Amino acid sequence: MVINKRLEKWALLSPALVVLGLVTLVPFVQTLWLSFTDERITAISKPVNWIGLENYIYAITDPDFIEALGRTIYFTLTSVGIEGVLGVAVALLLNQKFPGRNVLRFLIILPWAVPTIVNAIMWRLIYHPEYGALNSFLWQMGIIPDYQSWLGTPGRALNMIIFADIWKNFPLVVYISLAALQTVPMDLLQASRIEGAGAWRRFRTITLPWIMGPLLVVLVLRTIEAFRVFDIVYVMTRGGPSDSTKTASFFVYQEYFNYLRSGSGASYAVLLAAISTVLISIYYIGARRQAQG
Amino acid sequence: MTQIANTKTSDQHQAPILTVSNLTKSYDQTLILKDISLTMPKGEFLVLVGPSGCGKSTLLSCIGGLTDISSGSLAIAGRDVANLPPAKRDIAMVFQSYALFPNLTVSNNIAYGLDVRGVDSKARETSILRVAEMLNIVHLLDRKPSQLSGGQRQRVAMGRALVREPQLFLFDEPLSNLDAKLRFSMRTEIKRLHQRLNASIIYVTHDQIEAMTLATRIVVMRSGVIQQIGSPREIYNYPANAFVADFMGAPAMNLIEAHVTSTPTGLDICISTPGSEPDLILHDTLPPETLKKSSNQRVIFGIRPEAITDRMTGNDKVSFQSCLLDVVEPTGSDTYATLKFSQGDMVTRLHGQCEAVMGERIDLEFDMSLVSYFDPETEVRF
Repeated sequence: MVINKRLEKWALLSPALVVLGLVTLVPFVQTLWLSFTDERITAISKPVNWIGLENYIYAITDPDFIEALGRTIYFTLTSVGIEGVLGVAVALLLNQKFPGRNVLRFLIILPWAVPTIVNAIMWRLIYHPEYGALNSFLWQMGIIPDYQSWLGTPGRALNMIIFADIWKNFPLVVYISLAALQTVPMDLLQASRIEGAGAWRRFRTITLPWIMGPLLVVLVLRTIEAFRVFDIVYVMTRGGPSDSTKTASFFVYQEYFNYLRSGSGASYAVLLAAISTVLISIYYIGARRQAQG
Repeated sequence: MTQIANTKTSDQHQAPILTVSNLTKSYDQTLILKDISLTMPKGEFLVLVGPSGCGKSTLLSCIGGLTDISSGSLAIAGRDVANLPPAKRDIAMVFQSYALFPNLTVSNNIAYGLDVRGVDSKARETSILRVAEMLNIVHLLDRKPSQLSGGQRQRVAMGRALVREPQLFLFDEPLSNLDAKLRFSMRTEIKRLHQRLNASIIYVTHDQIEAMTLATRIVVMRSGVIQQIGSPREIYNYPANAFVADFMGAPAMNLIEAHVTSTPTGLDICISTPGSEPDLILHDTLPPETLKKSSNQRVIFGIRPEAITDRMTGNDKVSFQSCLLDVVEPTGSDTYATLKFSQGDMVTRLHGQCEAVMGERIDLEFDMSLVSYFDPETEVRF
């Protein structure tokens, strides 16, 4: 009976395990193995050589990769940081009672509902150096003397992408925060008012800790997403100008599909996966601490 | 029914800690509080009591500044506070839900108000320890609220209120979330704290036992109107109207339609019975002035269950009657028996060891010294 029970358990689990194994475990192991080889996509027929840690040593000493990693971290911290602050601020506003609140609550989700690629194309048009809406607007307002090449200037392009990314993704933070804000007990805020706390202290000591759990989840999810940013960069700048928007994922993509060095590309991918794991761990630790109250 | 009976106690010579005059509160078109006026001397334990929806919590919230008032005035310690935020009213509040800040430890919860005011760390620690010792929660200071039981949370909530030594304490049904046994012991403790600190407390409850046991004065409310203000004894013995008579006391006062006729020696009260059973005739030797010239006048006659007993006292204000018992319910300490009349039942409180059974006829003593008469139309006391 006991054996049957055990068999039954595995029998029920097996379809899911097989699918999981095929779509995640096998590719992961294969990528891991590839990262220790000199395989190239153009030379599939040639024998593949085991080269140990050579790819990794190359990767972590490659200044271009380190730079791309730095850009990715900058992209992640800036966009997620601003999304967090802006998202919570807008959620606090939308949690107040005012006429037209429901319409605004609906409108605010629209940017998030736009597909990333469409969003990227839209912002590329807005930023267009000759007929973009941004240039037209700023020029007519008298803020800029001439039309600017927003995505064509190395020091500026990444920030412009970050802006487009924030516009699309901050509504998610707004929504999660707003949902959490509605669960903050009225009694706590009233007690805090009675004790003499002002609005900022109430937010800091009552509201923010209360919504921290959900907020943390959405921020970590956004962090993981931002860290592997690829699509918006691909559509808006293709990593340019002069690699100034080349993020780590884009770097891996180029290594794999432009330079066709699958072995080396795999090692970059494994490194990124490792960094992502660290981010996920931070989330787990944070979430557990939150759960322990 | 809207008559206000305001009976002042001996504390009236002191300066009032709270003065509410003609306060009203309405939401949209609905009037929640209607023309509330009351004065509370320093050191009083004032209990606002009434059924749910009577406006007692709204009144507390108005006093605390969590709800704006629509009109009228509100003064704490002689200072007009109607337009001041809660923080500037020098009050503290204990909530039904305890409202402890879940992310802060017990000591930080207690010191929250001190931290807002920037009290230096030495004074802060001394204050925390002082109230923690008073409430027996010193061993809990480092814990989070989630690690505490209901009773412990209630103590912490009280600690947070006590530590700032405000002029006025507001308690909003603080014991409602506790089990019966704990409620009883916390009640005693709150009363002890009041006596020890001589604090001015306004306490909201729907539990009339809590009101009776804790209050120095009770405010009975109904539908946003004060029905009566008085000491527990006054409210219990001389209810201003039939609502107060019915609401205060468990089991409730017997209220039954009767006809009264004045006689040279007092007042005869006739309560009709069903079937062939003779009507119950009681005699009151000291009736209220307003009923002294009545002849077969319809009234609502009110008598407490404990005023109808089988324990013969020989009191000269007593009316003896032989009555047929309907339902008999022994509770151990007392036996409750129901008498059946045409206009309703009357509950009597008999001796715990009384062995009378249903359908039996026994002699009962009606203590007429504490009976009440109400106008059947207005329900106001005669």
